[in-house]
Amino acid sequence: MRAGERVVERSEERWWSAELRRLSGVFLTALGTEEAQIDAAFCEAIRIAREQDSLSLEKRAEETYAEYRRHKASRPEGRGFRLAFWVPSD
Amino acid sequence: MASTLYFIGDFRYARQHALRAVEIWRSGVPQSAVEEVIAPAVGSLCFDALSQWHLAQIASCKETMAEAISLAKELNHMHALAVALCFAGFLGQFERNPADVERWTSDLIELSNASTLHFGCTQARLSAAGRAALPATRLKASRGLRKG
Repeated sequence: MRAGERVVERSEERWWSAELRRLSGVFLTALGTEEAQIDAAFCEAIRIAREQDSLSLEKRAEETYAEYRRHKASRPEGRGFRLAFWVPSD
Repeated sequence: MASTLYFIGDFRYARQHALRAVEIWRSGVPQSAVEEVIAPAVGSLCFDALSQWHLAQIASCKETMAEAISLAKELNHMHALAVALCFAGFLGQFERNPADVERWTSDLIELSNASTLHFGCTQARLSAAGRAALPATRLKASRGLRKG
């Protein structure tokens, strides 16, 4: 993911940046990373998608973040759980 | 402009430019004497379709992409057709639709082999790699990618 982000910085190709951040959130969750970092990744994904008017990526990031919060609420002590890599299509 | 704006992530503005370009092309403005690598109208339709996907206009984005493919075929422009098929595969990945990715990738490989388009071969392999992440086809696609 870091390599991908370096490519984005170098090339300034930001068309998939929101998804890159969402996936960072998914992987950080699986690794049991500190909650603040996970929240930051998902919030950044949503922010970028909104800034770019990418309604599709915004919806995807919001759905994954909501799934993450549901998991956290049901298992407050649980760390390192897996979120769906792909958000189910409508 | 549409492609630059798309890749930097300005989808709404990219769409505006793509639409304007298609409008100019449809108005029958004389063609440039310099042969373009990609037929401009096909490229513009592709970026219009990709931008529409981001703007959550899913049904119309597929129609626009189909129009791009159809136009490339009509113009008998093989490189533009390869680009359009490649972008159609992208849309399939965006939509997490393995059947669509399979369809466009197969068409792209077939076209690339028939026309010795190296661009098409490379892009088709990349699309196959993307398709590998789609659950229903993960194993099959990864085998295909290893075979190259």
